Amino acid sequence: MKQNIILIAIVAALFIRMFTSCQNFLEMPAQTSFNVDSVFSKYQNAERLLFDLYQFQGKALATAHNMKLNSSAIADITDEAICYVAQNGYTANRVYAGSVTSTWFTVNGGNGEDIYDNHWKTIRKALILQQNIDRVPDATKEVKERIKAECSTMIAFEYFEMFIRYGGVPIVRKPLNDASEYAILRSPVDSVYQYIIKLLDTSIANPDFPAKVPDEKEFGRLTKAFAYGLKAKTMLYAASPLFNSDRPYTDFSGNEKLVCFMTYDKNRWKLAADAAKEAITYCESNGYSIVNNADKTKNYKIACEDRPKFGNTECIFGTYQGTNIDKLYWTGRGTNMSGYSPTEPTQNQVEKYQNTDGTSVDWTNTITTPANDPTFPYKKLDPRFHQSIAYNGCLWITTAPTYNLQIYDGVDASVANGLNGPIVAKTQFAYFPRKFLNGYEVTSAPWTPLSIYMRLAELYLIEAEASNEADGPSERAFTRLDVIRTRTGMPTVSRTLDQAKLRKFIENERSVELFLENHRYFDVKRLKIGDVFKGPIYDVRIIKQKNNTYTYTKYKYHDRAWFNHWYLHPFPYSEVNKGYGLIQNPGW
Amino acid sequence: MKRLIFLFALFVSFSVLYAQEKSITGRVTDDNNEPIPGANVVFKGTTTGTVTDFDGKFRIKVSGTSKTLVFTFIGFDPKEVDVANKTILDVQLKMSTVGLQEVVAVGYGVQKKATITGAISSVKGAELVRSPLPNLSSAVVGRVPGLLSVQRSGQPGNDETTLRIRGIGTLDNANASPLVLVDGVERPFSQIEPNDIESISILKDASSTAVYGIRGANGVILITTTRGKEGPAKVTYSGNFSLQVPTRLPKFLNGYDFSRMQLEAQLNDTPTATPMFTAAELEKFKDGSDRLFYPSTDWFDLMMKKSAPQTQHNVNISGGTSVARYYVSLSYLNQGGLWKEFNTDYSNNDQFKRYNFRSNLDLDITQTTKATISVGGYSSNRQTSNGGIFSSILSAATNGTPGVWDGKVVTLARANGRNAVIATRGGFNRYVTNSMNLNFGLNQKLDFITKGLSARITTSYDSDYGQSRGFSKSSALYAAERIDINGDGVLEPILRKASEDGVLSDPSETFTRAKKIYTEAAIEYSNKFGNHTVSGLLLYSQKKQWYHSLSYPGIPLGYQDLVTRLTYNYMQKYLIEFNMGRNGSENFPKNNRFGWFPALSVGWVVTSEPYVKKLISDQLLSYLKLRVSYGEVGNDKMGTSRFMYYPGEYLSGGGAIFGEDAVSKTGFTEGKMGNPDVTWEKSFKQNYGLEMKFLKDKLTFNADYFFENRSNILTARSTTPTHVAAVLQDAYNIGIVENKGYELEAGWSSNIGKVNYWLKGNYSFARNKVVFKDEAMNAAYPYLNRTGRRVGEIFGYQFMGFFNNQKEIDEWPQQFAKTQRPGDVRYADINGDGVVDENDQTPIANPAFPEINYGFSGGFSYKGFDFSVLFQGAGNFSMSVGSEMLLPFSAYGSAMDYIQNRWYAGSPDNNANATIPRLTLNYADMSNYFNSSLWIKDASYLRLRNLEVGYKLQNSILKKVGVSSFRIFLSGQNLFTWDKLKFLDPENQASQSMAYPQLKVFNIGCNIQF
Repeated sequence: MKQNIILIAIVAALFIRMFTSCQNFLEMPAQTSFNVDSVFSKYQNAERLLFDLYQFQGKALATAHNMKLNSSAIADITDEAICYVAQNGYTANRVYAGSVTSTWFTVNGGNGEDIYDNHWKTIRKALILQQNIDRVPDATKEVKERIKAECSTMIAFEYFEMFIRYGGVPIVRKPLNDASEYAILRSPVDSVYQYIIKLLDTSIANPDFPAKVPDEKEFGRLTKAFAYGLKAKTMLYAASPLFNSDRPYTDFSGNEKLVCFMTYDKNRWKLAADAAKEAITYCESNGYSIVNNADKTKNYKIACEDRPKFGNTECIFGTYQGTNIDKLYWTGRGTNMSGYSPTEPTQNQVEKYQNTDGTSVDWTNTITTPANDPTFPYKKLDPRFHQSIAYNGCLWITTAPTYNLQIYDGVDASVANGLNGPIVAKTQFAYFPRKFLNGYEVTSAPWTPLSIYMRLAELYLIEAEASNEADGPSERAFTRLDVIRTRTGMPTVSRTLDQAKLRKFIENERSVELFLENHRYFDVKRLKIGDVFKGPIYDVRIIKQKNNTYTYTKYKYHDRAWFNHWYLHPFPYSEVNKGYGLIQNPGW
Repeated sequence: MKRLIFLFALFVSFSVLYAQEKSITGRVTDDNNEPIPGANVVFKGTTTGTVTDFDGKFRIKVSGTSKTLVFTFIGFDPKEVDVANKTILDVQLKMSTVGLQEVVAVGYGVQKKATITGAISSVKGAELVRSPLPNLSSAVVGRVPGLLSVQRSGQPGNDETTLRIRGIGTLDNANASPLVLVDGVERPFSQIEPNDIESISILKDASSTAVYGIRGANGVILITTTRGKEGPAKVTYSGNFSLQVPTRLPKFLNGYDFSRMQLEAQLNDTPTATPMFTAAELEKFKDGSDRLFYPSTDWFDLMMKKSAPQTQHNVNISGGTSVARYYVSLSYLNQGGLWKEFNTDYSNNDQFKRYNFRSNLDLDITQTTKATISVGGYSSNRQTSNGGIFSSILSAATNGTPGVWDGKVVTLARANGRNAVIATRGGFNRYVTNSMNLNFGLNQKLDFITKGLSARITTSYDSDYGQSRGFSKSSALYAAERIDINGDGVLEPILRKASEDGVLSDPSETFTRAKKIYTEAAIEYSNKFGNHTVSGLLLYSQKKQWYHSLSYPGIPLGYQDLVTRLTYNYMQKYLIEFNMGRNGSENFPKNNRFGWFPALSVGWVVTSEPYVKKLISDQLLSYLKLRVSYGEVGNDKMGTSRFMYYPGEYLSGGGAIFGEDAVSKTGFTEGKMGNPDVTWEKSFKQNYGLEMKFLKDKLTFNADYFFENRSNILTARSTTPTHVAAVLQDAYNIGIVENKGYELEAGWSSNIGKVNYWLKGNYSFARNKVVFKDEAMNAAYPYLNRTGRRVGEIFGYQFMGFFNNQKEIDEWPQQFAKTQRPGDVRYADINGDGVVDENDQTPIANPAFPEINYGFSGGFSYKGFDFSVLFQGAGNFSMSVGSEMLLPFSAYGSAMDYIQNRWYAGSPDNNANATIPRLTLNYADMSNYFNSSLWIKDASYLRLRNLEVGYKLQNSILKKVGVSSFRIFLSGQNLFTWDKLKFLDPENQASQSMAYPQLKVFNIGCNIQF
């Protein structure tokens, strides 16, 4: 009987529990993880949101592989470079074939050119940080104001990146948490442009936003110099023919303002030129300067590849990602450099370099070198060529034992094939990239290039281009160009160029100076000269003859696909299909 | 011996019941010595009688003149026993047919099969042990209706079968897992020793699963372990020795064909390119004169053994008295792997060892108090190679390296370092798992309050401990090169040591721990008033589970349930049952946390009606039961999400690199947003069932039709614009899925002379339909919508053959804005807009999980011989071909043998039978390889799943040495597979995630009873 009572008591107790304390049994215990309140209750935590703000944009230029186009570089889908075909997944090849779909191009992580979602993720992070940073009790007003300006700049940066790819996009002004707020449609190009400028002006007006990072440990964070620079760059894009036009690049009836201004305004060029000038003035009065040491052979390399502490005074936004093993992806395939060569410079790019005396190499006919002088055609080229492109006979490994590239095949069985030539190393092309590899040629050396997004030289080029468009050729343009050229040992620009010729010259100069820095793809598009992408793309065939001379024969490697609707990116197919009213760009 | 046991049992009974007089007591059991509750015991020619109790016991007063007792129970042959001068009587009834007498495990209890009104199918442990399989989840397949399955891998210790009850009723297969309970407590079951299984019940409809309420929607699998039965100690040993071989391995091109095809691919891409192989080189691949530099490596031949051994031993002792019964079991399993050894200092082979133990004890503390103590668990030790061997084989060209040369692992420049043997030499992983479960239960009869009332409590404690250790080691690699050693201008082959042997690393170690405390308390009532039988159950249970790999690891996972069941039947003819769960889940906010889950079911045994008996001869139709059930159950799971309502969680992660010296800074990333209105999935289920027996119960036929409507499905929104949904979205209740289907089951058992034989078959079909999902409906091209389709239905392009020439290309719609070439795949322009693009995808294939599962089995016994066979098949499911199986030569990888059947210029039959597009080395443009009806293959199959031949020695000599029975048997598993796939086992995966092959097992075993 006793045990009966005990048992009944237990059973009863458990049932009572069900009806009394059950809510607590399943309740989430008090605060166990961070929420928005606890994050902003301490600067140390809030700062981690700031770190995460840079998760995507912080990688700046994709010198690492796998960032875009899956191991290819954006350069590969321009006339700068070509992607070796044999590696599965080097997706630049898809662009050559023309089989570009919206899902592939803007959704898949790392496979296409852009990841549409990431822009919005960063914008949301910036908005939340900006909205809440004042709640942090243990930070000074200066720190908070700087973060606010940084967030505005980051938001502007993301809108700029979307603007140049998609045209007009939805404008989101606060972090959205409710699906009912979602019906935000695309804003016209003009609104997005105005919004970017407004955000940048806010940042520029902020006295706590530093021109440079005060501590080298913060290198990689956005600064006011960048806000100035981005403003000029945004204005340059807004002034360029793709957007600054009274008609869209392709028929888009009713929605034209989503892809261009629908007005041509020459003054946009002037605004860009003045913004560039203002930016340069601001930068140069705040410690930035064009790298221009007496030893002209290294200036270009320092400006593109080195960190500020090693003399790079012109980096406005770049990051240093540390040791990187992905050098292998840049060097030639199957050579003793053991690379994968997804990015091999084209002959088209090589021909953009002039000789130091202002002349150009004539590649129309086969070039035969003197005996044992393989570098003959390249000897007098722009020093930037030698720092950007590796070629047959060039000194590859500069420390003992030194090593010169041998990118040739023997004319017949009696002449040995070059070790890096098509047959032995199964390379396909005559050039390898060298920019961003300078000093790291030895296979075992850790590769640690700067990842650069914007440098002062670009602002010089912007001012030159915009002032030529606004006012025609003038000393204002020429002097800016001269600085960029002479610091590497090139002659000054001929003052006889008319506006059209100077336009062409500047386009070429940008190709040379900003090679592999992810500008060309967008330059060609904003200048609306998309046919450049069609090719033909050339390479040279190098044969070593029995008499130890070398013959260089230019040949057409291939043509590429290009469609006018490619001027702007497609929105992801899945995004358009969500049905909230996102209008797809024309042609996609 | 049997007689001895009988006498012993009598003796025991006698000693216990010595005091009783003038009445006859005894126990009624079935063939398996299991008690038959509810059997009628009547003096012949009178109405004086009684009914056996839950343990099959009866007591009947001797009165009147009749000296013959008649024992009857539905489904058994009646038995008459002369009781003159007897006071104790144990009676064994012979089963007249399959089924009805059975007691079946149902949620929180057992029920007689005869009175069940829900949809439950069950399988006995004795059937499961026919399959010589280490994993219990695989042994069930094909033996019960209503269960759909896929076993992706045969890897020792990692070979669990994915089971789905009645298919998939929600939007994501991953959230459709059934609830599994072992002895009433939620536990995994795949590592339980099959010999310890009494039965497995599959609860399918709302009626049977409503008691599990908020977690019942995906169906429930109940495992009941073996318990001791009254009787002398019975010792049983069973031992098995098996050889395992793969059911099928993929076939690759040999070195010569590989090189030839690779060259063809290169020249297809760039006709002007310098050929990668000269004719002389190809000849060397062909004639095998220089196998170091021109190899032809059959990776499976090089690396895999012909077979791998497996041994299983189980010894169990069971028995007991009327006050204490026990079942104690110990098992050992050792499953070897198929890999050859390439290391001297450690094994690279897969291996799985498992020790299972179980001790189930039942004590009658007093006449009215029963205690059950069950302890079960296992300790296992699994080893695998550190590298993914199958993915390495897929990634390694057969012409790339001889693999091993002169005992050295060799690479050639051509292979870019790819050598599958390396994967066996990178170290190994060991996984130790210890799992211990304890159940303690007390059952108190409360007849003193009112007859038939009882109460019980059960508490269980489960503890799991896992240790995983990874040992890595780099092994020396040699590069084969030709070098002019003597300076005579002649190149000699050498093996240059390219990397050194490493040292076995200290293990990287991770631990997992989990524990669970579960308590239930119940009040039960069961009574009979004349022809009216009623029973009731009121039960409370709660669970807390500490499980370290959960999100919110510090917070134990909790559940709380209140359950009630009411049953009524009139003469076992009219049956009615009401089940209800009131359950709560931590996943939901306070006001949405607890739900009611009611289900009602009714049954009618038509053949018990006198007018039906008059109409149809009992000889023809002996039994017909109709069942209908309807009710609501729920599902509270979406992946591993917890506290789905809880907003604004920030997690450590993200961040970026800053500073001129690259310092990595970890950020905070915003977690889920939290949905304050989230609640459970609601599933409304209907079931219509039919049970029939014909021809003196020789033929049985059961059929069930079900219909499920699942709404409020937990899923993330998919139409929220990216500019809003820039953070992780949490669960919303926004899907509706319908799932319907049927199950058929038939059996025949009879004899021809002394040969007893039986045939059985079952067939299950389940098809779902997405009624609503968060999808922006595409009005222009409605066929693109997932709504209205099956869950997981594969979408893609319609393959229309290959382009044979430029003319065909010109006449065909433009595909993906891409320049087509002869040999490229043509796709249908579904919407007829003149271009083939993303809008031309349609449903092209069945989902990756089967809709059909069927099994048929048969067997016979004659004297000591017995024979049984089981065929099992699955249908309506697909396999997608991927990675190197789709893309030959990609990234230095392998090429399948079937690519010889490619499209190529100059084919003798003009490519009429080509099945593979033109070969290429350039896979950046994937348009020939998009999801299309070319690459989604029908994976339907039929297997000879199990075959067993046994012989039972009945020898007096054996009996003299104490062996009561000795059975020896040969069995086999997966002996034949018939399918359309041909190149791979249909349950495996045709991609880099290709798993360890499904196994064919040849087994010899014995079973000895003492």
